[in-house]
Amino acid sequence: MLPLGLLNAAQGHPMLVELKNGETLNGHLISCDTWMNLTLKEVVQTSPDGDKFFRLPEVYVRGNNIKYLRVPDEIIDLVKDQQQNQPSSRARGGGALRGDHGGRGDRGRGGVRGARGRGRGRG
Amino acid sequence: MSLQPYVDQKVLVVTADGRTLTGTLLSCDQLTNLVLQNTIERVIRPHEDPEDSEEVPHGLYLIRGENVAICGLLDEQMDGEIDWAKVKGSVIGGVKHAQKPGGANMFQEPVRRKKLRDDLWVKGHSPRNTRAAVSLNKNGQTVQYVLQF
Repeated sequence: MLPLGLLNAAQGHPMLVELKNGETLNGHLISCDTWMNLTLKEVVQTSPDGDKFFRLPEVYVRGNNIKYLRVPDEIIDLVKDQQQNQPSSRARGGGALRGDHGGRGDRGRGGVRGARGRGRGRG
Repeated sequence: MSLQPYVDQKVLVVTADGRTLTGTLLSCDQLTNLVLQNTIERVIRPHEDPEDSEEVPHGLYLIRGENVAICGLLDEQMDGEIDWAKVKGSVIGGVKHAQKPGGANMFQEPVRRKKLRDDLWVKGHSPRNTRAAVSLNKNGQTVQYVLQF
């Protein structure tokens, strides 16, 4: 499980995001991407000193502004379940069988499969 | 080099803003993004603060790699024997050393002074809060400078 896997699993759940400037955002995670960019809804934004509060219906956070995220404890169980139900393609190890080329060095001239390919072409 | 060998062990993280967090490292990636479980923030107060230091539980944390300064393995036995509420210590600063308001800006000060400061630095003097007398030979004349950094 990668940290961003946890973030993915936290979609739809409430979380607290602290930004580098010290502001915090409390809201429900709608979506996130590989840069940790987020959209949150029903957000309460708190100023760095914790003295001012703002309610915002929806917020987009550029990932680079994030210091940390605090997520509910149960998300960790959720990630584990998700990974058991949908193992990654790498875990299944059958990349070539499912028709992707995998980018491995055994394609092309001199390779085992390359030789077979030529044989079939002539026959 | 990665934090992979620390996964599932107790670690202590010092963040770029100077906070101290302990917890079980669940996961990490190439950017040093970390997932900590049962995160506890240690708020260590200085001696002059009459209030006790504190351990504040935070639960599950995802720390962005950029914000990680140090991540180290915790000696659980030694750590467990310490009553952190009674520990006093200076506040750990952040990794960014903000300019003092109105203070000399190293990047804006005149080139000559910056050069002098660099020379002092080379000679092993601390560039901060240092008063130094420097004499320079300028066009055949000896000029005295008293510098305060």
